[in-house]
Amino acid sequence: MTASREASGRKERQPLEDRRHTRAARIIGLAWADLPAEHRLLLENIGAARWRVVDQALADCVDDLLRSAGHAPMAPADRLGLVDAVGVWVEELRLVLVDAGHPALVDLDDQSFEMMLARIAWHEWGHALSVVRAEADDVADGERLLALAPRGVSERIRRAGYRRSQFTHELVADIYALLMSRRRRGETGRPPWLDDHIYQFVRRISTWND
Amino acid sequence: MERLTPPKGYTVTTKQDVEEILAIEADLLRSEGVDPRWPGFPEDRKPEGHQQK
Repeated sequence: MTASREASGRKERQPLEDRRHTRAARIIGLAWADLPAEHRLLLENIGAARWRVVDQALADCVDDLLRSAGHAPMAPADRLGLVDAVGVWVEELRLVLVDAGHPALVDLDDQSFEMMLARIAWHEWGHALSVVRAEADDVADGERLLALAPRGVSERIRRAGYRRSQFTHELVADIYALLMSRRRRGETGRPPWLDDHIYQFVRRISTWND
Repeated sequence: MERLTPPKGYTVTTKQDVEEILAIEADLLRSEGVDPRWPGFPEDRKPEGHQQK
């Protein structure tokens, strides 16, 4: 491990165990089954219903898949958007990719691994819904929406270095994943920690009607 | 082929980062009196959807 990598807490990539790879694919399938039926239909219609679990850095994986599908290679600036990514929806390929071998996931216990994989999948499906269904005004409203979000959520989005034009999509993705996780626990309706403006917005984007 | 908006990934850097994400969720759930422990998926449920291999 290099000194800089060690100092940042990042781990070197190791091959993913077959057991974990198989488990990850099962978790994503269960997370999909957990979605409300109308959300699954919507995701089918926008081209976000297919997924692949991989054990490869997503910047390389997406570039390889785009090239093999006849697209131009990704520009270096575009690859930057996938550095350290653990999940992504690639609109051109109509495919959600999850890097189950991401170094940040390898040391998680089985329960945390399941929880995080489900979180990643729900985040990506929420992200896809936002990218396709949010209006230009919604995207422009990202900074204001973020100011209304629970502090921990907004701080993470700001710290992750997303551009302002991505705030709305990242916020919808995170809130959607949180609502799904809450739904898994049998909780529906607007949670008290969520601003009603954001809740109504996510409902509009996702057709959420719980 | 047409190039759409470049894909933007869900960024996580370290295990500590993952733990922070899960801790934020646990705090929110706890704040409304919901048990934050992960209930898991039903063991007898079959995965669904369109996995590409």
